[in-house]
Amino acid sequence: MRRTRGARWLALLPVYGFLLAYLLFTIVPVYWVFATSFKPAQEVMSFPPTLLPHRLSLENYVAVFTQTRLARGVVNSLIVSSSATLLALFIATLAAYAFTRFRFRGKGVLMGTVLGLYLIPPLIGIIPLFLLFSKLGLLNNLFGLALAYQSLVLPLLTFMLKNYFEGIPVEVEEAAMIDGCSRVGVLRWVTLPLALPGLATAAIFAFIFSWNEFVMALTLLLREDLKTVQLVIMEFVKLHRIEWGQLTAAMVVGMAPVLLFIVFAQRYLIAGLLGGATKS
Amino acid sequence: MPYAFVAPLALALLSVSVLPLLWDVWVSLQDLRTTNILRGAPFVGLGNYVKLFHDPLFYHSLRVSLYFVVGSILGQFMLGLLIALIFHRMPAVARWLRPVFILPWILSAIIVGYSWIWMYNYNFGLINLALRAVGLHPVRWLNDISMAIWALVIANVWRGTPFTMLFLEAALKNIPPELYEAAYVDGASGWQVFRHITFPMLRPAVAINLILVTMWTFNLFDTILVMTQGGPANATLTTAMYMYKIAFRYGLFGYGAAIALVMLAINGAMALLYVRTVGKAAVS
Amino acid sequence: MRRNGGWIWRGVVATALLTAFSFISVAQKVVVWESEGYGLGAVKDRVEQLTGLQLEIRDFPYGELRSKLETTLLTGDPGVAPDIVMVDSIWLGELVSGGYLADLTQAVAGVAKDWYPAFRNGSQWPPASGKYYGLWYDTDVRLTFYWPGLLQKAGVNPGDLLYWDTYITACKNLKAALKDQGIGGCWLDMAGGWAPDFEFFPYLWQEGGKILEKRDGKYVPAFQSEAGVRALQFLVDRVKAGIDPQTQTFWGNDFAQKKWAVYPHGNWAASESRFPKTTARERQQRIAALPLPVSAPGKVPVTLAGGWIMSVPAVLQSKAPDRFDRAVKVMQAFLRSDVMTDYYGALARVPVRAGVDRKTLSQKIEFFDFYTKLASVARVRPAIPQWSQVSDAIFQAMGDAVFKGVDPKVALEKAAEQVRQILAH
Repeated sequence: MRRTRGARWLALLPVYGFLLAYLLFTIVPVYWVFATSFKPAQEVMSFPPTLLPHRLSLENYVAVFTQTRLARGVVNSLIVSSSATLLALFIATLAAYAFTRFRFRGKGVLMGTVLGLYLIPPLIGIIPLFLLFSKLGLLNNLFGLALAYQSLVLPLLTFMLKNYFEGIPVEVEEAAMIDGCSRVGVLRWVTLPLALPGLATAAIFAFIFSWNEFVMALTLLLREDLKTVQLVIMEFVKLHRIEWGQLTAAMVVGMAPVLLFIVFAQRYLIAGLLGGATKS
Repeated sequence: MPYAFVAPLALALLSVSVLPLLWDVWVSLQDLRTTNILRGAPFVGLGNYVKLFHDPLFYHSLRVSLYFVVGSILGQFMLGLLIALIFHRMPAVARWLRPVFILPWILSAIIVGYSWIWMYNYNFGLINLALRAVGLHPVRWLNDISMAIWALVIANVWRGTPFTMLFLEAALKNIPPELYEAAYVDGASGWQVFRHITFPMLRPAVAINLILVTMWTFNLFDTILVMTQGGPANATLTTAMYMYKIAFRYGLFGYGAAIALVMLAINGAMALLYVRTVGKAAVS
Repeated sequence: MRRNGGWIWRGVVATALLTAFSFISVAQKVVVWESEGYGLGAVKDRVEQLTGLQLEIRDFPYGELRSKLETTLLTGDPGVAPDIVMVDSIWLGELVSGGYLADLTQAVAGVAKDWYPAFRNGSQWPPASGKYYGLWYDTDVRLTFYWPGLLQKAGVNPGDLLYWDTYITACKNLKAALKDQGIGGCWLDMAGGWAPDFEFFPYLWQEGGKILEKRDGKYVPAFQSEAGVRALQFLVDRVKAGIDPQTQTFWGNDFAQKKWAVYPHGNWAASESRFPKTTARERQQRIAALPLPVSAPGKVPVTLAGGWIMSVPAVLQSKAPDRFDRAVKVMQAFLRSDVMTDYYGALARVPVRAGVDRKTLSQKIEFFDFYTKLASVARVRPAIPQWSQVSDAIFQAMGDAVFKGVDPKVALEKAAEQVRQILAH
């Protein structure tokens, strides 16, 4: 029954063919955006379109950074995303720790609520949230937007971290407590350092979510100088025409953090997806 | 002590998720709209719900949503399962391809939407370029009444497949290898192993995955808002998009809230249905 | 161990600093909201000079402007409201009924005497009630543009474009003759919410019909009349004759690129932004314009006029009177006839009032005299609060007739029933 190496390859050919096809399906739309962004203006609108840019040009990138609010948008998005991430991590860590280490009344209800929030169409909250924020003076405020974002990622983050904490043996903490450490001290000095990979994963998720969101931002921010990067990208699509060269360049800037995470932190990203998704 | 730990979570969820939900329930019982919101809206009881069940466009939107959800799930689930099975058997290949394959899932709706608008562009899009190259007629993908919904489905499958893939791959990893060994010792074929061991063990994960993906797809509106806004001629007006239109274009907040709550009920019903049919042991 | 967590706290401090930075407010300016590309910036310097106040003009995409206006004004918070808003004329009823717009009768009633009746009445709510909630700032008209050279090549006489039956034959001939060059015959707009403005309402009015009518003080649908059926039948006839309904619009850019021989659309299709670096005279020499076709000689080619109304949020009047006064001052500067002349000239817009410098404008705007003549017989849409729903219902009837083969009468009856329910509230 032993097959030769060649025959094995032949049997796997359809599999490799399928993988190659899917690989193309995945990267071609992204490639097309990249390719367009590096074409000079006339080439973008030349017919038939060129598969590869004939001349690599940075003019679109120069234009989006010098003539538009994109740079400001990137800064705004960094402010919102990092604030939301830190806040969500803080809240989710405390809650996840309580869910794994304490028994208390209402725990089941609370965990059920957290899960149940997955069911809610995200749209449902926009108008009431808008009215609430206007009462609190949080409209037109990047920190207000960060508050909204952090609570939207909380359910996911809480369950991710809960799974992670469950994997840390209680004995380590008990040892520290015998040494006279308080609960908060244990969490701060014992559990958190051990949970750093889990925290990193959770942070990446919160950051990417906040970076990508646009409907809340569209509603809660009314000033142009506060626009996040996604909202600035939308500006390139005008009623009467679309500047595809500049739009694609702005899109590349808009997906930069996501690409960076894939290149440099894919381990955490995939760990989070594999772990956080199944065990809830 | 534990309450101090969960208090911030409770507060955050209460203010940003639970309160808006309760507000929606209250508003769905009023004829709240832009023209009366400052003065106070008349209470109409279940009037908005009654109106909904006589609204032909609502039924139309349910039909469009059905196409969108079924099309997306078929594509996303089949592809995701297939890739997960391959990756599970070929870890070396998976290590290289997985990071690339997950890319679409973590891109923003804006970027997914515009990328595909550009792919579908009549003159300058890659898809029509390919069609012309093989001698076929180019298609106005997003502006064709019968094609637009499927164009959206393709973009959505592109975006959603990585999630199903990773989810099922993780589930496959949790199947004890001893089961396979025993089966192969008994001389089972590859298909038999899949049919009698892999798939039954996968059932709970499949159920959860289908629930999540169904709900997300049914609730999804951001990419549709970017790509077609429900057009042409309402061909891509899903229920979520219709709700957006009612609330933000027509300014009928009470009616919009009623649609949102009906969507919530549909979500719940679908979740129950899946749990009953696909895997009873799914939710633990 | 201490070092391990330090970065978190450093992060918190950094975030706090960044947040504080985001709170720093900008200097007080008079903020104007307009739809993207409306172009009030063209007279910004002049208005600043006249008032001594600084302006900040913010552009929003069309749909976004509407939802932003709605949501902002319903907070009742002057802190987030702009000082001056440009309101699409079809939103007036909704925004006034909601209590979002300030009563500006005192400030504008005097100057409004110079406005053409349709726009003067349309700046009041209810129409012609004497209560002004702003003033119509510009208008636009629908008409037929064409490339004379292409018509000549296809052997089509431009006069054929003036009547429904000859229009259809001309389009057929153009399509056949220009097909090889990749040029379309006649444009037919079915691209979205605006389609009824282009392809239904003008013909309905020409045939003597109305969109809505008032019965016992209440609006009821009237578009399903004989006139409406004839107008919709004209649409169906065109599609049946091979004029393909277009579901994607480029707002005349494609006409400027000679992709269509005949292009019934708004006056913007001929403006400089579509034909860069040309003068009005050059544009007038390259393309030609005619009124929309009518069913028979002797009928008046009624067209549809849109436009934007300059207004002020009500919340300023009640909660920020000093800002309200400044807004009115700025608005009065905008409404000076010389400022409006400058604005029209810069953006090739059609005037809503008699007292503008016609001589200057006719040199700057292609087909200027023709536009103003059309505007004088143009009609406006009823700006009732439920207008967007009514318009969408009519658009759906058009879609049913064109794409699903539903009989025009049946399609309109169905839409009328829907509109009756919409208006009942």
